[in-house]
Amino acid sequence: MQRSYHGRASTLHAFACRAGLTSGPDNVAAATSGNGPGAISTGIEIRLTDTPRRPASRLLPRLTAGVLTVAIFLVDTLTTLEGAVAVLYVVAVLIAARTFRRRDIIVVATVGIVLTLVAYLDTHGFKHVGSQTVRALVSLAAIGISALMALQNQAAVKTLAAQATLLDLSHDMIFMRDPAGAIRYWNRSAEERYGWSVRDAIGQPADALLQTRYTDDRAAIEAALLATGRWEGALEQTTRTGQVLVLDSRWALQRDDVGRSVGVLETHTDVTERNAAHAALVASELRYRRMFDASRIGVVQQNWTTLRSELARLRIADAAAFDKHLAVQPDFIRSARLLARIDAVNPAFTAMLTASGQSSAPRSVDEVLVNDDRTFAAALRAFLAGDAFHEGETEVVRSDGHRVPVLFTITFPRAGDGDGCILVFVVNITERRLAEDAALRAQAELAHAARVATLGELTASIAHEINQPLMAVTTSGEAALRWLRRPTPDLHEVDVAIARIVAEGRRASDIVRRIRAFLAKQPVQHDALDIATVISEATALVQHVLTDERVETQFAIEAGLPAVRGDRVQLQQVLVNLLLNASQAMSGQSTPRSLSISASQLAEDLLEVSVADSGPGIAVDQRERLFEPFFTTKPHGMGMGLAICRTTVEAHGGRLSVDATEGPGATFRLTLAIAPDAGNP
Amino acid sequence: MIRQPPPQSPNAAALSEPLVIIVDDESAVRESLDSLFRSVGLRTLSFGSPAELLQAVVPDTPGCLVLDVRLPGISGLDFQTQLARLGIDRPTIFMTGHGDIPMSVRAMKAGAVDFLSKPFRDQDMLDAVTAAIERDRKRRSDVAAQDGLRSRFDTLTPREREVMAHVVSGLMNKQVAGLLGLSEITVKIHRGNVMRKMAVRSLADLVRQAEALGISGS
Repeated sequence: MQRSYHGRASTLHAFACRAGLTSGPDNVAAATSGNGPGAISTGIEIRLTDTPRRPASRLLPRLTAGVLTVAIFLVDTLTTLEGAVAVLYVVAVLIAARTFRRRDIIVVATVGIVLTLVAYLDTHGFKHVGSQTVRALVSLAAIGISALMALQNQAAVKTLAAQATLLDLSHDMIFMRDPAGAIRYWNRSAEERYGWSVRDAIGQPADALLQTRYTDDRAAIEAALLATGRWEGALEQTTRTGQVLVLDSRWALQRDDVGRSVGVLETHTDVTERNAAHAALVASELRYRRMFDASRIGVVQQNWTTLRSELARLRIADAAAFDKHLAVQPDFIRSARLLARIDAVNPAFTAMLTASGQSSAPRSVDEVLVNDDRTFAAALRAFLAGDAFHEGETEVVRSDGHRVPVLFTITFPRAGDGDGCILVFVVNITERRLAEDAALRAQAELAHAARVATLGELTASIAHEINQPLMAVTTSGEAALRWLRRPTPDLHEVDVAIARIVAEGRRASDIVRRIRAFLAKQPVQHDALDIATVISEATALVQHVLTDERVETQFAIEAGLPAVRGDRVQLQQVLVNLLLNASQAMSGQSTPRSLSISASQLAEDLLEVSVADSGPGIAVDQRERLFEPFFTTKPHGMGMGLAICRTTVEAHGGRLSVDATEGPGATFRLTLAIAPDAGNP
Repeated sequence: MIRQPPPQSPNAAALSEPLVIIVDDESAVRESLDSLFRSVGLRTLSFGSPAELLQAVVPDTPGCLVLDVRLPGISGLDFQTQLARLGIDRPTIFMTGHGDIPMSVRAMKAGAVDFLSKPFRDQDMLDAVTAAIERDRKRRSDVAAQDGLRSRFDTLTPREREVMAHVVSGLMNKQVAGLLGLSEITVKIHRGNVMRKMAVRSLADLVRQAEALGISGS
C-alpha cells in the first residue's frame, strides 16, 4: 500500500508539475461531490498523518544533511579558506528538504545559522568587521532564504499530496492520457474498478485498453473537446474481467503555458448500477401503475390530511378519545367521511361504482359509502390505535343508487412515511354473496326435502296423533247428544263433553300447525330459542313412533338453560332425525329399549344436547362415515339424514358428533352456541 | 282415574249391572268414552294404563274391556293375554289407529270380540259393547251351569262314578255288573242313585252331562 502510494504520489507530482494542475482541487471536488466534505477532509488527515515516509528513506537525507553540516563546520572553523564556506549550509538545508518535513528543514537551517555564527565568532571575534562579516551575512541570508523556499516547496508538495489523495479517494475512475491517448495517470478507483494496476495501465492507449464505446462520434467528441476544453457524455467501457460498464464521463483538456494540449483528464462515474436501479424503479413504477390500472381489485387512494388536522384540532389522539367523542357527537362520523378525500381511484373501482355508463369521480369517502355503513368508524378507530391496516365488509353506492357489497382492506401509512396516502383495496363480493345465498337456499331446500322424507316415515304416527283428538271430539259430541236426548237431559255432562270437544279441537289444530311448520319452506330464521321447548316439540312429532317401538324415553334437561340462536324447525329436524335413528336402531331388540335425551350447559357460551340409545351401538369404522352423504346402515335409507343434520348444526355454529364408545348404545352429541344477547328465553 | 263402583251396598242387582272397563293412555279419549257409556246407563271404570288396572279392585260383574291396541309399555294384545292368565279376562273390544291391520288379525285370533278403528261411530261402539256384555253374561251362566254339574258329580261315590261311566258308554246293567263283579240289582241301585244325584230323568241327559264333564266310558 504504502509503496504504491509513493509511486502514485511521485507520478502525480510529475504530472501535476507538467500539467500545471492549478484547478486540481476543483476537479477533485467535482469528481467526489458524492461524498460529504467532512469525509474528504477527514480522509486527508488520516492519509497525511498515518502514512508518513518510511524512516529509512528519511534517514538518508537526514544523515547526509548532518554529516555535511559537520563537514562544513569543520572546514569553516579549521581551515582559513577565504570565502563564504557557510553558504554550503544551503546544500544541507536542501538535502534536509528531501524529507519533506518542516521540522527537518528548520532544524538544519537553524543549526547552519548557529554554526555559521559560531564559526565566524570563533575565527573573527567581534573585533573585525569587514568583508568576512559581509560574507557571513550573505551566508546567513542564503541559508535563511533557502530554508524559507524549502518550507514553501514543502507546503506545495503537501497540497499536491493531498490533492493526489483526493483523486485516489474518489469513487470515480480518473485517469490522464496524453494527446496521443496513452495513459499517464491512473487513480486507485480506476485500478479497482477497471482491474489494471497502475503499472499495467500507464503507457497503454486508453481507448484500446478499455474498449471504449462512445454513443457519439469519436471525432465529434474530440472536436468539441478541442473547441471548449471540456466534454461530457455517456460511454461504455469494458473491465479487465470483461464486465461492461456504463459510465458518465467528463473530460478536461489540459494545456501548457502556450496553449498546447498536453493531455486529457478523464473522470468516469460508474452509472451501471445507478442506471439499473433507475430502470428497476421505472419498471417498478410501471408495474405498480399496471397493477393499479389493470387490477380487478378496486384501489382507492385517499388523503386524510384534512381529517387528521380535524382530529388534532379536536384532540382526538387515540381510540379511547375517539370513542368518547363519538359518544357525545355521533354525527362526527358523517363529517369525517366528508373530510376523507379521495385523490384517485383505479378503473376497477370506477367500474364497481358505475351503472350503465354514468360515472363520476368520487371526491370523498362520503360519496362512496352507504349511509348506514358502520365500518368507517371502525377504520378510524384502527387508524387512531396505530394499526397498519384494517379489513372489513361493507357496501358502496353505485351511481344508480344500487348497493354493492364489498370486502376492503385499508392500509395506513407508517408514522415516518412522508407520503401519508391511504390506500384502500376493494373487492366486489356481489357474486360471492349470490353464491352464498344460493348455497344457503340449496341447503334449506335439501333440509326441506329431508323433512318431507322424514314426515313420510312419520305418516302413521302423525295420522294416529291427529286421530286421537279427532276421536275424542266425535265421541264426546256423540256422548253429549245422548246426554241431551235423555228423558231428563244431563246438562252438566253435556257441558263437560263440549268443553272437551273444544279443547281437543284446539289440540288437533295445534298438531296440524306443528306439522305444517315442520314442513314449511321458509328462509332460515335466527331466533332465540328455548332448547327445552325445541326438544319437547321434536319428541312430540315422533312420540307415537317411540310408543310403537316400546321405547322408554327419559329426559334430563337442566332447568333455566340460556337460549340458543337458530332456526326452530331446523333444530327440531335434527332432533327428530336423531330420535328416529335411535328408535330404529333399537327396533326389534329384546333387551330394554331406552332413550335418554339430556340438555346441559357445557361452557359459558356452549350448550349440549345429547341423545343416547340402548341399541347395538355403532361400529368404529362406521362412526365418522355416518355423517357422510349417502352413507346408510338402513335397508331403505337414503343416507342423507345425518349429513344434513351435521350441515344444519354447523350452519348454526355448532357441532354434531357421536361418542366414540365401544359396545352397545350410541350417544349423539349436539353442541350449540348460546345466543350472546339472550339470557333466559 | 279409577272410577270406583257405586258406594251403595253390593246387592244382586248392582252386581249383575254390566261394567265397561276402558284402558287408554289418552285422557280425552278415555273421558269421552266414559261419558258415552254412562249416557246409555252403563257402569264404567277407566284406566290410563294396564298397570293401573292391575292395581285396582275390579268387581266381578258381567262386562267387557275396551282397550287401545297401542298402550304405553305393553301392547293391548299382550295385556289381554296377561289378564286371561290372571283369570280376570272379559270379552275385549280393541280400538285401533289407522292401518293396524296385521295387529287386528292377531287380536282376532287371540279372541277379541270386536275391532273398531278410531274414530268410530258411537252406535258401532255401543253395539260392540252390548254384544260383548251379552257374551260375557252367557259365558258366565255357562260357567255357572258347569259349576253345578261338577258339584253334583262330586257327591257321587267312587262306585257310583264307575257305574255312571259304564252306563253312559252304553252298557247294559248286566254287563256293568259283570265288569264290576257286582250283582245286577246292586248296579241298578247305583244307577238310580246316579240319576237322582245328577238330577237327570233320562239316560240321554246323563250322557250329555258326562260329555260336559269329560267322562268317557272306556
